[in-house]
Amino acid sequence: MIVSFFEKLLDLFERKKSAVIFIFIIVSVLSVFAVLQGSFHNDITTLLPQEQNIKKTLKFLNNSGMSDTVVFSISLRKEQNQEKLLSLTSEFAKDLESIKYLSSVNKGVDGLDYKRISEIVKKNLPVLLTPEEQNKIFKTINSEEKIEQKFRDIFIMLNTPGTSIVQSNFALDPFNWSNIVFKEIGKLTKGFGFQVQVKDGRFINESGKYALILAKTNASLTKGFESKSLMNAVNKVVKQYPNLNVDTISGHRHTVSNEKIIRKDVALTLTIVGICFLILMLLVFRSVEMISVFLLPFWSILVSAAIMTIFLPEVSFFIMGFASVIAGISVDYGIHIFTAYKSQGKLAVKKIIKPVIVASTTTIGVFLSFFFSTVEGYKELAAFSIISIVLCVIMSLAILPNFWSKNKKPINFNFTFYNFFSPKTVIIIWGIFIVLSFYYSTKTNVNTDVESFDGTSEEILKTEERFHDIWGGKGKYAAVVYETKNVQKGWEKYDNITGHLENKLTNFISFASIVGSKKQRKINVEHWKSYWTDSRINNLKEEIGSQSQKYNFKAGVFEDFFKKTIKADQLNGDIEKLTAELGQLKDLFIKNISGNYRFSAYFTDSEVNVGKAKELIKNINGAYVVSPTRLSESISKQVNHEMKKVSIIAFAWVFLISFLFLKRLSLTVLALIPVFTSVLATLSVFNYLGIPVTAVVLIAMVVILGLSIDYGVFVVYSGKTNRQEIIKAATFSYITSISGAGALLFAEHPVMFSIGLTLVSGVTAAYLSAIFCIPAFEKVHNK
Amino acid sequence: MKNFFIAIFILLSSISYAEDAEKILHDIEKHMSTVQSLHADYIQKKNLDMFENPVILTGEIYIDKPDKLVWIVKEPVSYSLLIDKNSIVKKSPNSKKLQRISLESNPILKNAVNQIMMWFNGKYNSYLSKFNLEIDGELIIFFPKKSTQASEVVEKIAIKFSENKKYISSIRIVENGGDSTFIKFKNVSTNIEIDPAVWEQFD
Repeated sequence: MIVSFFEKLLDLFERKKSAVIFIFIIVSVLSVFAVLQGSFHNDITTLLPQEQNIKKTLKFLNNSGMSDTVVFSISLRKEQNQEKLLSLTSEFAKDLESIKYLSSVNKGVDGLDYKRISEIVKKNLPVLLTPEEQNKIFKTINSEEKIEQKFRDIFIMLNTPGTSIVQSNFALDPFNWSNIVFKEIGKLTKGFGFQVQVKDGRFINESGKYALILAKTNASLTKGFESKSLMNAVNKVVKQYPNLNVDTISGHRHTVSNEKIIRKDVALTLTIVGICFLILMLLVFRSVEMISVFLLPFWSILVSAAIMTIFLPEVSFFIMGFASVIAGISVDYGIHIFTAYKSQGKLAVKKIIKPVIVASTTTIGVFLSFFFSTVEGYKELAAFSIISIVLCVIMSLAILPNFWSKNKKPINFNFTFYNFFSPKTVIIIWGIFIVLSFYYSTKTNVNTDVESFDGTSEEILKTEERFHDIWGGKGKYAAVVYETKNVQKGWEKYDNITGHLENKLTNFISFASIVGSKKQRKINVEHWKSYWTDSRINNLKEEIGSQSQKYNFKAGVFEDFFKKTIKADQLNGDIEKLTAELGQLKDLFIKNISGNYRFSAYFTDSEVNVGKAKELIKNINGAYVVSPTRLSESISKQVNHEMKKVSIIAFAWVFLISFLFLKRLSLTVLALIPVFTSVLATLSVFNYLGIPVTAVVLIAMVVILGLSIDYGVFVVYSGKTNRQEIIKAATFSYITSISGAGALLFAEHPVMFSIGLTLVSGVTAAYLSAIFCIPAFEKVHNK
Repeated sequence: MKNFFIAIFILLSSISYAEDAEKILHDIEKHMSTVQSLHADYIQKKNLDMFENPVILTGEIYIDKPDKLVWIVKEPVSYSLLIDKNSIVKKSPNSKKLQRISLESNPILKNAVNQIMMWFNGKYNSYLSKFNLEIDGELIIFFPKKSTQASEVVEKIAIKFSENKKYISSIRIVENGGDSTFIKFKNVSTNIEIDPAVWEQFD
């Protein structure tokens, strides 16, 4: 039925050529317009499974503060003068402020005033110290000897050169209880392994030869245009400072670099494909009409992209690129039809409608199987590819032949080479190949690390390496996260989480270790008040009085300690001041993301720590563990699951359509030989070359199922018609496919390269097994 | 026109002053850099608002450049301090237990220790942007410039160098509130081999 529909369509369009041309032009113009107006993003994570844990981890990483931060590590080119470095850094920072994509530029911690913080901390010890910490410090002054020792220490400290500036602190906190809080602040500032020092309120490294600027940007990391504008503006400012060496660290540099490399790779692919087509067109088909076959996939990609931009708010730039490579292979249908047309005209085209429909239906079926996946990106990819293939098939079967002439026939090559080897030899060679491939494919290494998608240039990676050598921060951190709209409730949970995990995980840091929730602060104060009874205060006053005299202190020097520290009653107000003073530090742990408060506590990202953390918080509702290192494992597990599901459905579809078309099980099995061979060949090639199989490779492999069955169907079907003509068309389509995919082997971007390697190995194995093995098996079977 | 010439004169004088100061400080740094280790006796007089009477301390100091210093106090109390870039370690004669204060968690103290190290290493050139100078022979008085962090605490620091400019012979720090510290070094020996036991007592 569908065959006769296309036959009628072919005849109809022959009569309405002008209308067809008119509609073609309108659709093309509208498509160009829609694509130019469309919105694209560059977020590679759309290709990752949307399982809850993965989603949470990716969301956490996206909002971690790194995605909107641009860091500048600055040194002087020639001299080693710190004053000059800091002064030029200030000028540089000022110029950065004029960049519209930078919302703030921070060259130091002007806000982190330790003197002010120290005063607030000392006045608020009852609020900040937990009952456990209070009990610990009270024990240090519970005897005459201990108090005497403390006063001796104060005397020594005040007489140590250069330390008299801390004397006001001694008056408020003679026993240095605030050190507990400062230790926690120190832990938090050093917590992420960065070795940043503050000199005169400015960030410098340990050697003093490097200065640091942290800038916040509103340019989206996943939007190529914004990233490019930001980086161009930054580079312009950098160029104005020839005396400075400026290393820029930013995710946006990755975006720009990836886009640049992908563009370069696509241009290379198109050039090589173009040259191959030109050779085919001029030397084999000797017809300029071949251009229409060549341009058809590009046109269908354009129209598909336009349709996608209409239905989706944002189209993935990456998926579009990937789908374009795949859709480019749909040029095969055009070549088959063109070859048929050039040999016997429209009659031959009508004869080939059926295998083209079957081949395209199986390929579409493979893409349809992606809709059974939970990954949004796979669905987008499938929709894009299906639209492209449908457009290509309709155009090649029903429209283009009406515009071709029968004048020049292609050169009559001898395509009987498939009979060159004896069937037995072919089957033995194939058997050995299958056994070896099976052996290699079982050892395949699957890598689902998100970083494997990153094709950033070597120069950027070296800059980042240099940055970590200077500033540290190489360690990986996992986090326990709790999100809520109610800040107070959230803070209480945060206390609870911190209480459960503190001292149990390596390098655990939490802002709640410094400032607890209002509820916790109340508990702290009540405990403090209950301890400091009048008699205890009087006893301490007496002790301090006698020791003061012994160590030459004036009478009444420690009055403030009793008035402002021991009897502190202006409790919560100052804490807000403290959290404001620690603003930058606090933001790393407690963040307001569009009205949702996210509380995070960090620890070293190891398997043991993550396991422990999960166990310890299992009873805290709503809290979850985020581990960037474990993310890869979760993705791997999910990708395997998704791919298993998609492959089974795709294979079932391929088998069903082939069987319905070929009607015999033996023929269907023969048609599946290229499918089976290509999958094993691809896996073994990756394993043989020591290249890990990524999520992208797995997707490309599922697509290979659809492409391989095309070869199988055409060759098996040709048994009933003209095998030589079909093998000729298959060879031409193989040459075009391999020229495009082969060009990707020279690609710089790892994703483009892996797609190229998958397609080259898969399509080559499918083509060779189709033209050699199917006829060989047929002959053996017929005997 | 007259005012113009006066302005030019003042400008030129200040330029030559800056150049002179830089030259003198550079000269001191050069001489002090020839000293790698030092031992001296000292006497310190401290006037603190917190104290009833001035406190007079006597003792010894050992310096191993660039960042190790042992401060031994003999009178009126006896103790020793090892000061380096990471910590202050205290040792009391009657106790085997060492008390260690990490400078990482105490930025104010760290800043103070950095200052001490800078004095003894002679790296005063970096002071030029933060201090105004008065130079009188071997005596240099540093006055913190307005709005600098130092100006919040210190009124002036007067450092007197030895004749050969290889070490500090005395230092006086006057703070804004009137507190002051005066340290005088005597019996100074430079580039000596310091007995390892001086450092090992803090291990």
